[in-house]
Amino acid sequence: MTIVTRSRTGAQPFVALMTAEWTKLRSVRSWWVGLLSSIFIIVVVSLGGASGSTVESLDVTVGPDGEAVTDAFQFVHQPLPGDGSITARVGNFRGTEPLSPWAKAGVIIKDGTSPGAGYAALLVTPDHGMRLQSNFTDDRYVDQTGPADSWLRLTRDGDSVTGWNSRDGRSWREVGTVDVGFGRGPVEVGLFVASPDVFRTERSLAGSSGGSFPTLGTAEFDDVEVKGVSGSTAWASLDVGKPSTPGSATGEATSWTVSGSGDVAPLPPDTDAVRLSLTGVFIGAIPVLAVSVLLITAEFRHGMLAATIAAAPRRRRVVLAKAIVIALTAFAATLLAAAAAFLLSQPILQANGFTPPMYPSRSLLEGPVLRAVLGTAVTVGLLAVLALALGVVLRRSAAAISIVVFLVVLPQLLVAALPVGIGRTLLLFTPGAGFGLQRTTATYEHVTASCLPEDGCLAGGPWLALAAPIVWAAVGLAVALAAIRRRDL
Amino acid sequence: MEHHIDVRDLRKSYGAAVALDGISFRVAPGHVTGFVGPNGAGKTTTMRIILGLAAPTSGTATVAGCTYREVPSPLRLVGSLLDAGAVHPARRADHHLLWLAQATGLSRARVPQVLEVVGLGGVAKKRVGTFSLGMRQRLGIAAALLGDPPILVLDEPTNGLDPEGIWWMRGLLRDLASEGRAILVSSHLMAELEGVASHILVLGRGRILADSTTEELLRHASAGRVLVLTDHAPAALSALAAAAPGRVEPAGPDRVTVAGLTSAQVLRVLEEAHVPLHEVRAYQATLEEAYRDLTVGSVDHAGAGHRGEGARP
Amino acid sequence: MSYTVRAIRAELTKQRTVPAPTWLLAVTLVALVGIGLAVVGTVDLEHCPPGGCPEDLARHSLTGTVVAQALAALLGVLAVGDEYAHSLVGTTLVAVPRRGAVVLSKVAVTSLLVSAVAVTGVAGVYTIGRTMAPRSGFTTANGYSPLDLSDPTIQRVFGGTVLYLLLVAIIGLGVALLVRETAWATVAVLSMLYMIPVLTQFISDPSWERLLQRLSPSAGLAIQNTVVSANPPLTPWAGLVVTAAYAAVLATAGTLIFIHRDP
Repeated sequence: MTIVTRSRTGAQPFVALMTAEWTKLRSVRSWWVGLLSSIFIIVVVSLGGASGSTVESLDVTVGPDGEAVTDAFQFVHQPLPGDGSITARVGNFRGTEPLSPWAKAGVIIKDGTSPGAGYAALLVTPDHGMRLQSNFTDDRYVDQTGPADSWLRLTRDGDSVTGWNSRDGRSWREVGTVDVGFGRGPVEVGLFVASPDVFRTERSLAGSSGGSFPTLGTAEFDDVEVKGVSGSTAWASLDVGKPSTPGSATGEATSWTVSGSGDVAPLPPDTDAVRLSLTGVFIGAIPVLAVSVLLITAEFRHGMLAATIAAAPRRRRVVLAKAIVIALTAFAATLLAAAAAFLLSQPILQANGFTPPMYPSRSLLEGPVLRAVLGTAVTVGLLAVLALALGVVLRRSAAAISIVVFLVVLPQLLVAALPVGIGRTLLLFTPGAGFGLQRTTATYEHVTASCLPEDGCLAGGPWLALAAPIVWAAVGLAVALAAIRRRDL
Repeated sequence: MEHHIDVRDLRKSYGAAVALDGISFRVAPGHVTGFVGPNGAGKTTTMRIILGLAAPTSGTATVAGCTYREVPSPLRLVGSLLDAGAVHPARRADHHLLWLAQATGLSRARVPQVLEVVGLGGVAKKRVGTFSLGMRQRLGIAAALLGDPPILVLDEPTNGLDPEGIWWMRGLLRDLASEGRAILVSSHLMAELEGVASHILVLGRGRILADSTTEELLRHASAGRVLVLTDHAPAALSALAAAAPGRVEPAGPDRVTVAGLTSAQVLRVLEEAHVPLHEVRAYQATLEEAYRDLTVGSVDHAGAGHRGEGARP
Repeated sequence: MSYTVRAIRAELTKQRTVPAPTWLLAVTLVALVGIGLAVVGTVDLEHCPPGGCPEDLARHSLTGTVVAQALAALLGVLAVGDEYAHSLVGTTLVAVPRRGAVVLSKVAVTSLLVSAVAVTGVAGVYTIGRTMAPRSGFTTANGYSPLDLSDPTIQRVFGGTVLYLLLVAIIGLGVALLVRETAWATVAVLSMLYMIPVLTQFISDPSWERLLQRLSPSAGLAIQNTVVSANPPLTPWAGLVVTAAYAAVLATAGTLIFIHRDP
């Protein structure tokens, strides 16, 4: 005897319900047109976005690992032929108002004076304490800096540089060792000051524009002592790279006053080239979301739900089946469209100046890109569930479509009129926050880069972005399930 | 005053499909004109063209000598009911009639009057979405009567009405006709028009199959037939079939009709065959039969279900 | 009463006797005033260097227009789409058989309702701007002049916003006449209004950005600019003309379709 799996109530198996919903979705021509137009809009608008974006290929400084960096500072230096150390007391760090919170003053051992050369530095900052940094991307917090002066020391042992700090110049604490990779050959050792440009964002409804303003930091160095040099080598000073404002250094032997502009840090691109190749999703998702709404409101309107419910007596299972089917459909359609948009955009972007080192060529399968494309598709899938839920609760297609579009698109537009900090946090709570996963630009704590919420730079980093759409979809679905059970048809 | 509906050589095709194939008729005042035909025969299309909702491919349809679109206050000239479902579910019944009254420059006092006439006075302030199909049908009639028009065009007005409602509707139509109005009423059920329509238009496959008074139509359909009432219908059937081959039909479990024989001849045949019987008399055809005779072969989708809402009286 | 006036009266009753338009108008008002309140209340001048940011107070306080425009467009969509959704078009045309009069009555009533709400909303925003903005740092001492309705620029910004919302509502109406379906008309209108503003947030080529901004149905928002940059993509009135052109083309096309196609 064949045993047919049935639930106690004699309702169809859930898979059969899902198959039925898929058949319904597939059999309405305008819905297919909606799905296809979503894919089309995502690809075409994204390509338009890519075509409409050009960057001038600047002469970018390249760091030891081939990445784009900023390397500009005032350097008071002397050669260090082999192993050795430098010690200095730094204090009275001041500068133009406002001084960048990431202005730097400290001791540095660098593989020559050309921009982009490897280095290790122990430094103090106005707002972020004492840091041990090397080769641009590596940054470690060491200690807080009080109002009193700080003693800094770097010792070189071949490739390795070890940092030490002291509050009084007598008892020293080891704060870390970094591997810089300059071999055993001669390097330059000395004092440095850098003060990055301050970004100011102007807000208007047309968008936002970031302006940067040069700053100049000045620090006093005392008790400067270099070990490992033969005899008394003369100090020299220069601006490494091209700081926005020329620096200066006055003093001799053990006491120096150094003023410098610029920064020693990675240089993240202004534009996220991956996000730029997915711009069509915000608008392209609208037809898919409309189909999600219609999947239920069309049944309310044509009285079909009575037939559907008769075929499947438990209403909640029907809504659940619809939710799963539309989530998977929206996910698949968006995944296809986003992958196509990314792949087709790459040659356009390269032709428009998005080239290495600032914009390394990206592959669809590398981590951040895959995260961006999959994250986009997952977000649209979750939004589709939210749209369906709104359809169940509101029963009016125009109202449900408008609300879901408002929830997704408006924050993206309105956030540009809000202060950046508020915007970054607020956007995190909107269902469209999931598109924050499109951001692939690496963020460094020690770089003040333009981080605007509308560019996907949200509080809490990319993964937290997915929390909001998950919660919206889950809460929406829960409310819809409660509504469909309680209400008369 | 001549308030006719005049339809001349009306054709309407949708691409290759011909919905109306050159029909002409005239609806005169003082009568209910029944407009019958199977589903898909073109009744609604004709009515939509009369009301200016669809453009004919060729030919004309006029009301009181004008095309509908030229009429300055159409609801005062023509009252119509096409689709009782065509109401906004969130709107109150009286508001639905109010905007119609305003659109044609009628006093708002007409609204409660017509709602009383159709028996919806008590639910005037209820949303139409809560109405049953029958109540919507009554609301549609109220809208048609709003302008006290001399011409009425009603598409399947008894749809969704209960037997009491159908009885009411028939009385209403007779009263309206007796006031001298020209009334065109469509139905796919001939029986609904029995005793109401004094003139019948039969439409099939886009053509007029019959255009005559009801009396004439019935006389033609009964033409010389004889009805036999008997408890032994099968025996009567075979006996009569031998006498008049091919002209005998069963008409029910206890009745048989015969054409081509007089009553006396029928009596003789049955007596000789020893078939007991109750009665033999001249046959009076129903409209339904007259209609069936006319539309045999003109039904597009025979066997397909009728619109289920229609209840027979 | 003339034919068209009767049609307008009937249309007004139609809009008044279903809940959706009232709701939409109420939400439009709340969006204009509420968002204005939020933006003026939170705008932050602390990051500005001495001399002040070039903050555009009038425009900022009208940020709610970004939402209100969609609601106005929806009102236009529903004026037509709702009739198709419930097969009411036939009823309307039986009562008012001249198609042109039907479209005219819908345009007139939608314009009337949107203008009434826009004027109220804009007046509310103006009041907020005058009373609240000084508390957010927009003081004469900081170099900002208070909003003043006798200033022709301010008249243009606030009056132009009303005109813009009205034009957007007519765009919604035109699209619905063409699409004949509420859901897809909504999709089309919202995409039209938001596509280019979203896209210009991402693209970086200034000439493309300018081109897109000039082509956008929402170009009319330029009417709100008071701080005019050296070489704006559109002057305020030119922007409004772009939106008006969309409204005219869509409404005309929609009317022609409405006249020549059987409902």
